Amino acid sequence: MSFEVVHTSVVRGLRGESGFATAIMTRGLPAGLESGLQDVSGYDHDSARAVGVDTVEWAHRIVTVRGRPYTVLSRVAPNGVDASRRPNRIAHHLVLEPHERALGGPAWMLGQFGAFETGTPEVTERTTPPVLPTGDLPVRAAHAWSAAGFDAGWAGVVAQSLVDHPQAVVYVVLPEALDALPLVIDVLALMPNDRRWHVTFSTRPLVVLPHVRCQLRFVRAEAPGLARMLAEPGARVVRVERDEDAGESDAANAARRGQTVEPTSRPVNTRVNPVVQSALGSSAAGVREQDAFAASTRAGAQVPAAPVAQAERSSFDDSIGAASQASPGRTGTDLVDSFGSARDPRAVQDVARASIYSRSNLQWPPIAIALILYSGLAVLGAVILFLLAAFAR
Amino acid sequence: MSTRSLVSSVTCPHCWAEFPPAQVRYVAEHAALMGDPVLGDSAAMRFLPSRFDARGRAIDPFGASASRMACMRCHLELPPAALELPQAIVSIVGAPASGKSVMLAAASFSLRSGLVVDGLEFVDADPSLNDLTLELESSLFRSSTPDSPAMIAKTDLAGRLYRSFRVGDANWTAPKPQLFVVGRKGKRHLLCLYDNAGEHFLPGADAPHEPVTRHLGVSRALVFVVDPTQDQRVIERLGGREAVQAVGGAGSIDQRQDLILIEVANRVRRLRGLSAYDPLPFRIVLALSKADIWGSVTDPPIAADFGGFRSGQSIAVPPMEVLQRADATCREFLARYMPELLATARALDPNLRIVPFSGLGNPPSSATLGTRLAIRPRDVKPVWPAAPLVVALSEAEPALFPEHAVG
Ligand SMILES: Nc1nc2c(ncn2[C@@H]2O[C@H](COP(=O)(O)OP(=O)(O)OP(=O)(O)O)[C@@H](O)[C@H]2O)c(=O)[nH]1
Ligand SMILES: [Mg+2]
Repeated sequence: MSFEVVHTSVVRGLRGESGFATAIMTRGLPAGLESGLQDVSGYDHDSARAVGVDTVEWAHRIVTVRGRPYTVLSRVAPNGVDASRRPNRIAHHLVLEPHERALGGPAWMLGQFGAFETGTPEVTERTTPPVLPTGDLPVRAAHAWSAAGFDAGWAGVVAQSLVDHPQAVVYVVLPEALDALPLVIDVLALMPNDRRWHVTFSTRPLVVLPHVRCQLRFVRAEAPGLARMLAEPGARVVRVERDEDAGESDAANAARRGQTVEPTSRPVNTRVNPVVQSALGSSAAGVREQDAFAASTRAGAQVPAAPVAQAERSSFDDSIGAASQASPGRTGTDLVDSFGSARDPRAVQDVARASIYSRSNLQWPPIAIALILYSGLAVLGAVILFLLAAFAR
Repeated sequence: MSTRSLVSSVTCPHCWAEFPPAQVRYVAEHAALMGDPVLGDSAAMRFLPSRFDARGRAIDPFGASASRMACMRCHLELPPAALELPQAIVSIVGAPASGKSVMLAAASFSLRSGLVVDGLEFVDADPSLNDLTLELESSLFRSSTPDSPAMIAKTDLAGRLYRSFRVGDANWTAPKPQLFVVGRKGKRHLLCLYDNAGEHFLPGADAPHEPVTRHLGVSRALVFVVDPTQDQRVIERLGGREAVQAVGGAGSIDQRQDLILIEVANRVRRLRGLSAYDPLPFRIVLALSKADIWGSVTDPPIAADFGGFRSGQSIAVPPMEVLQRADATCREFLARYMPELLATARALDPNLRIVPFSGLGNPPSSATLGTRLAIRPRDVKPVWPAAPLVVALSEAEPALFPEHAVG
């Protein structure tokens, strides 16, 4: 069952408190989720200070509460003034079950959901879940990008970054503030259905939280402190200019023509497979995440572009959940790649943090020798015991 | 070579963990050492150093010299002063819209000016950590557009004002501390303040993994910001809710501020393991905000001239006899209009002190009814904005402000 939570400044909230409080909540919301959603309800009214590109924050995030990942779609926006005559904001969150994720993807679903509260609502506990849109969004040319004055090819460049680096943070730097949700819808339309829900995003990111996953961040070129943010190790940056062409890459052309952006096949270094033991990601979750993403990346062009069937989706759901549980962990493929790439500083760091190395092609000889030695010793011990017993008798 | 003397025990201003200085973590400087198990992948790694260079800086695992320090528990950065100076955490508490943020901004702005108390040294312990106060100050008190009306935003429950970290399996959220070095008469302290949202102090708002008010467990002084204009009796005396709201008062509802004080006292006792009847371990300072609105109904009316300090040096902390007169006037005012608040505060601390102030000095206004209230920065003339803080510090550290301490 899906849930919704609306958080804004009210005279009296659901529990009688005044000021920022929960105004609407679906009955039966899992424990801890209300405060988890409050963490992503903040809004900075200062337009000069805000980093995000949109006045409204449209977001798809994975919020982990008490070890459980939740798919959350949000709209956070200004909401006039509150009773103390200070600027108010309203955050409306939808919490989805895996089977409720529409094939069209999270951005499309945000655009289609017509019941977001935009003004201070009547405070109430709802007994029925929100009615969610269902449906698909076929692959199509990135018209919203052209309408906003950009080369449509940029949508392909962004999609390529997401497809090739599913675990890296991707910053899209735009020249000025604009309505960014249609741009995200375009980007996700270029991806296969089974990839769309892997992409978490925000059009007005505020803070990075360890328990919240948000991969794709739309930011303003003029935002203060941007340089430091973009310098985050491993982050991919796509700088978009109005009068600049996105180039002639396959992805850019796919976005102009309305074709699916495929992963770039990358050489996979199979020599060393480091298993990072990090306190951040539970190892089990890390392995599931690694497997799911590594498999899909390696499969490359074999990933079905057609809509995924319901049955196929369960493993896909697991991988999204595992990815979020592993917190900001990384995929096995990323690690393998970074070992091969001397430019990626994370490669060195991973060497430092890796505590177990499984050298697959070097494992057999030592194991075999050890087995032979141990069995020899066991046989020798048994003979001695037998002789001692016989002698004693 | 210079020597540094360290405090025997450090209290982290972010998570309030106490630990010996030898356990302090360092922030790796090598670009490759990114990712920290407590702060996430975008933070530099924290480590317990075992090697130091000739200048006493730690050497990180990849050989770079590291000088930035961090808490052993939450891994958030500590300014060097946190290890060298005794700490004075002051908890600023109050209902939503009572005037806490305006007071914080007005107080820090005026304390920096050097005109508040003779011989006072007041500097940011680390400007990069104090960005919130600097922003609050620049919106009203050092604005680059003094003729464009502005106002400090309502303190949100999430976002830039908070830091998150991961301890064990749980995520924690804590308010960002604002740290200042306060020095006077040869003594120096690290003053630590927080801009909480009023909602944090409402009964039942203390969530286990959001220790947003846990500074109450270690603070040395309590400034309880009382907004008399949120009390129905004062509102009626001032001409009704609409009239009071139009000049920045009345908040959103008739707020039982005495219940917030009881809730805060309970949290203080719970966090420190005190019994329900133990006296509170610090002095309570009732800071009566927005005196420009209600100061006309006291007897004598204190808003008329604030003991002669209204004009000219209105940001200075007045001498003790002026403060004591204002205290007596406010006591009478509270006894008349908000008797249960005064009784509650007295029961918690018989020696409580009362200080009126006005963070803005003049009322804000709005273009039309029901729209945002704002004030031209040029019209902001705070009166005694730092007095509640200085009185609280004088009670916690009498050596710093002996002339303002009682007894
Ligand atoms: N007239 C007058 N109004 C004031 C004064 N200080 C604050 N106000 C008004 O009170 C409102 C609330 O002040 P804040 O400082 O934001 O209150 P707060 O306690 O931080 O509130 P929360 O952030 O909601 O907890 C302001 O927006 C002003 O309209 C003052 O000195 N005089
Ligand atoms: Mg505030």
